[in-house]
Amino acid sequence: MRDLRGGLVRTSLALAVGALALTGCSEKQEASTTLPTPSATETTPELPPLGPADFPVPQEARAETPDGAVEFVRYYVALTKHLALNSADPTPLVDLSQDCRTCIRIAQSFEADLAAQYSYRDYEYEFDEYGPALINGDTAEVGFAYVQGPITAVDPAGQVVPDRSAATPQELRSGATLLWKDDVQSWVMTGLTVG
Amino acid sequence: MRRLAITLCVLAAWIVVNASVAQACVGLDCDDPVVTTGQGALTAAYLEQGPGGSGVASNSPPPNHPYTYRLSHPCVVDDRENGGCRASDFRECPAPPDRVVEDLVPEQRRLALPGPDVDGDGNPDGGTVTTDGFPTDGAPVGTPVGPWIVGARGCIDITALNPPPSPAEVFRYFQTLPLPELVTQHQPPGDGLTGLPVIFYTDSPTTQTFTVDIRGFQVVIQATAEQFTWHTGDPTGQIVTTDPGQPYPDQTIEHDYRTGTYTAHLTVTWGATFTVNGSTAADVPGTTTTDGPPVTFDVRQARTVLTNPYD
Repeated sequence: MRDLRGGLVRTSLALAVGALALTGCSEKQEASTTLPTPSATETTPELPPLGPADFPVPQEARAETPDGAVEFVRYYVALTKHLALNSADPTPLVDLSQDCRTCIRIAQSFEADLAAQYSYRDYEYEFDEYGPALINGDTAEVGFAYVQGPITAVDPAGQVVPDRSAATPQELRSGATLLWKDDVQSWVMTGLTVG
Repeated sequence: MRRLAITLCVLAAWIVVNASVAQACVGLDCDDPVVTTGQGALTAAYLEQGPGGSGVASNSPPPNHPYTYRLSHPCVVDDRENGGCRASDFRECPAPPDRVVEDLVPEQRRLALPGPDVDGDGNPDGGTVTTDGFPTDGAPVGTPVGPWIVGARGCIDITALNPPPSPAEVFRYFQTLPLPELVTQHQPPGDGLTGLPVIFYTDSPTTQTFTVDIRGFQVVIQATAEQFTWHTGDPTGQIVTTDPGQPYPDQTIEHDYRTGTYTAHLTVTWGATFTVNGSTAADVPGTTTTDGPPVTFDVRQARTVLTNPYD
């Protein structure tokens, strides 16, 4: 019964759309003598995707604004969790940075996890920015409180790897420096200091 | 290639190598460094940053500047964080002769600043704050607060900080010193004979001390001839030794010639050590060479002539 009613609704909609289209064709229209103004065709430009396909950099993090910089750092921190929980290639952490040593170290640690076939069972954190980013030209500074834990890494046998885990949540006062890259219309991380 | 080797040596002298294992991170929390920064770090009260990571460091900040700075060589930072330097850590910065410009990684740390003037009496009464709201926990004005934040590496003019001359800077001076040009001596004097090896040596001084003033620092450079390259002037090319040779009968350097006229000379490779204001001596990270004056001699064929000893 439900299927039949759905079919009727679809049929009615198709008829209505068809009737509207025919009405539009039958009325006389004067030819336009002017070109459409640019505003008539303007749409929000779609930025090329950036970051992992299944976890791209969100649009709000791709604005050269104080809030955009904060959102980028928020995304970057979330990306570490995403990569950890999915045992994914950590290269995006490096790709979304420039001369950021801590970023490289974090990626190297994840790479070592993959090589050792460790996976993450828990990866909890809280991110609280101290306020909007400070913008200076094409650079930005973001201060944030980062509470990390619990993080639980396990080996292929399911045993917890203590060296790669953090059982207790810990607040780490942190900061990040960013650089705006025009070519990709995004921030990149140039410095990350956690704790 | 030699330039790279020299540079590597220069920067190796900057670091304190105590760690060899890269430090791991748990989540975003990376281990604390296990090596000290060593000589490679300078502190600055102000860093005026320019494009491309360039900047000018000084100890004259504007009032209530919100940061203090630490400037480290990339090799020092890499060693601190990863347990070793990388080839990419070594880069030279162009600098006018009277400026000191180094390739450095700046790190900045927030300073506690006077809080807002709530009651409007002209005196801050809101405790202390930081430029981005990072909590000061009541730290007095001017106290560094929170972590060091790593900035973008670049060529930073540190002339105003007047750092002691770096090994690289001393090396640049060393290359300009009027080192002696060692004279080639050969035996037998005058013309040589085929079948009789020509002996080479030099009796010129093989050490020399220079005292130079580098930006107000007294730098004593002790130069020593480390290698001797004897250009023989014939197709065999050259003889390389680490000693200056000796005259007959204690000769150590000989060469056999065919008949002909030859021009020989000596290239000396100089190494050095240096002290700054009486400090412990350190190696100058590189060598330089001098060419001695050429000497020309003939080598003749000796013909056997029978003579009557009773004549």
